[in-house]
Amino acid sequence: MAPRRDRIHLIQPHKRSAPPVPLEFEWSGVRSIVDGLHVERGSTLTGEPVLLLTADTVEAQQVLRNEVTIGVQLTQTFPSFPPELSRLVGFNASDRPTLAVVTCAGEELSAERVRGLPSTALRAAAESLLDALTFLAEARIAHRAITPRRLYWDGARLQLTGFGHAVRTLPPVRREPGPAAPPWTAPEQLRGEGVVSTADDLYGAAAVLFWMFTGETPGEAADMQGRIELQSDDLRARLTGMFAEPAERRPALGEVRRRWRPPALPGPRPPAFEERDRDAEAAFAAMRRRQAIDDHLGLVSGPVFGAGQPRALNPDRRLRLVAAVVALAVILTAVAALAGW
Amino acid sequence: MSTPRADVQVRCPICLTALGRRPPRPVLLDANGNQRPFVPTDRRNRVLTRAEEMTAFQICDGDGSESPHHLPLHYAQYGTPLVVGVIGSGATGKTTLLAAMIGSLLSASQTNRLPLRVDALDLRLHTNFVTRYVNRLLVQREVLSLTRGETIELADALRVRSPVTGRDHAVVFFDVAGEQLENAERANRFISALNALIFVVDGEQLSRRRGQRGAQAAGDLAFEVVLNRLSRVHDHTPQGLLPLPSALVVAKSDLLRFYGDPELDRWFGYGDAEEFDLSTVEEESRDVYRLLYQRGHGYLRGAERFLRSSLHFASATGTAPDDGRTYAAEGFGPRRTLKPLLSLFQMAGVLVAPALHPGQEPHR
Repeated sequence: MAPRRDRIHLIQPHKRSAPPVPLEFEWSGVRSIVDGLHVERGSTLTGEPVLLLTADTVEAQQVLRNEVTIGVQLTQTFPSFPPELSRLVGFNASDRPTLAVVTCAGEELSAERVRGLPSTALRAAAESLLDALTFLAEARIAHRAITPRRLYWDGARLQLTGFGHAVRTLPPVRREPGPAAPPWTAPEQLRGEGVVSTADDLYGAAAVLFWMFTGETPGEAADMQGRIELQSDDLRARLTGMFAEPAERRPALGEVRRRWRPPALPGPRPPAFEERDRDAEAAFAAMRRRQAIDDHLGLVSGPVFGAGQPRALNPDRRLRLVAAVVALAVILTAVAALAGW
Repeated sequence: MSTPRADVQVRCPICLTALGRRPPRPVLLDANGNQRPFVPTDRRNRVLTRAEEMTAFQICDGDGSESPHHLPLHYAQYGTPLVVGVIGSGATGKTTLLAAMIGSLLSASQTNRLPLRVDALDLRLHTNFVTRYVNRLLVQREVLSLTRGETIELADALRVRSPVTGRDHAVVFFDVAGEQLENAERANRFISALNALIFVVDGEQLSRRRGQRGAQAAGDLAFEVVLNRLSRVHDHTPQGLLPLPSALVVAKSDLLRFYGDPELDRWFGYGDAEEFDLSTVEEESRDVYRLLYQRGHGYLRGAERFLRSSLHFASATGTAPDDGRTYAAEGFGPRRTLKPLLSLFQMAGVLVAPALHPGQEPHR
């Protein structure tokens, strides 16, 4: 199918009560099927890459409906949207959507693409994947189907797409076998035990990270710790325990993030910004120095009408008092004089 | 940190008249604001009388230039009250932020996560604020309307007890429309009575100004009005600082996330327990200062002009309104709104806590 320009009327997730608005897109004509949905790549007229998702079966409609529900929730949770997650651009119907447009930055994370990535890019990809999990945890959503196929790489970061099987984790929901299969799915998820949590996604992310950094397809959880032992010290330290059973023995998301990204590593910024940032640091330090010098003086707890400060009312009162005393003295003197005292 | 200077005379925060020269005249107010003398049901029953007094007011006749107005009966009972002004112009979200702050404070106190006990100083005023603002925001998730009103009055009045020091503190809040601050001179006498400030910067404005030339110098006129007034009332320290504590809060900070400001993003990555850790206030203050230095230098006067100050990121709702009137349940909840208040309490000596109780969740 040839590329084409198309105008679609879409309900926007942050204006669900408003009527659909016409939005223009350019579609590539190249289609694939993911989770039963027809997926076509394209872009907005401003060049933002997007995916057109359409459903033509009952099962696919259910997946699409969930994609829209979760997309709306993420839009509400993050008014300023994290680039590590795919954003819902719009959909065609609130009750039974058959079409939705979502963003997708970059290209699908294929084995060929991963092989070509330098180590710094691999690190950036790993960190952004864990960032994506953090944002989902913050929104109380579990993706439940993290695989390379649902990850896109734009040269700077990974973006997680495909929320058709995601669920809200609050209130707790029981695990059910998800769409992902071994080796990307946690054993307890495959067995349908316990409640859905961020741990499900963490297992999937661990499997993706193992695949990205080793080039090997991950296996069953029981074998994975042994295979991790064979890796470099650095990778072993980062992945240790992530496939452990039972799930309670696995590290928490915060711990995994710390392994992959030591705190406070700001990215590169323009020289003018850096210079101004240094000025800001110096100005902050100067402010604190001034405050420290005078801190022994302590705070005041209310207005002080001290020397040098104007008093709005009392001068008038004093004048009135003096005038009254003078007048009284004059009257008394007059009375005394008249009485001949 | 040194303690505040010895208390000066307690003054009415509305007209600045000294209180305590004569016994307070207690009254009760009905729903329409009509007053009648307060007469305890049984003076010998002290418990009952104390309970009844929680709904009573005292009349301040002022200096003649103001009409008589009402203050909580126990306003001056606990020493000089902490009079907190929430300052910011226009739609900065002051009321929403204050409602979220007080809601978070009450919740933390009730769940024993604070070394403070917080209850109403004035039950009627407090119930009114909780019903009209806190519950509407946090329970019904309604978008609060802009602060309006001709008269200057207290927004809420709390009694804060510190088990560490054994002291009770009266803490009252003024939330005044920004436009009112800029226009009315006489009505703004309350500014002189403020002894703690919360300056609110509109994060939405900062996000709109992103990349605009000259935007760095922009500030807030309401800040200037208040600073000007305070400068006329208080002697400056030798370093030219106002001897008051100030917490400067970038509200709606969630709108600034994901634009390449790791100094902001990381604070929203922490769990809620981080709010109770006041050892990170300095780190957060530095990050907020750096961001405002780049994006809105003028706002920094809300911190730089004060003897003690801290700077914070916060979001009262954590999400955008669903339809302009309400917030959707998903993602809704105050983020980082408690910490500015705790920091202010600490700077003012209300909160003396060697260690707060951050709970089980590791955050750093």
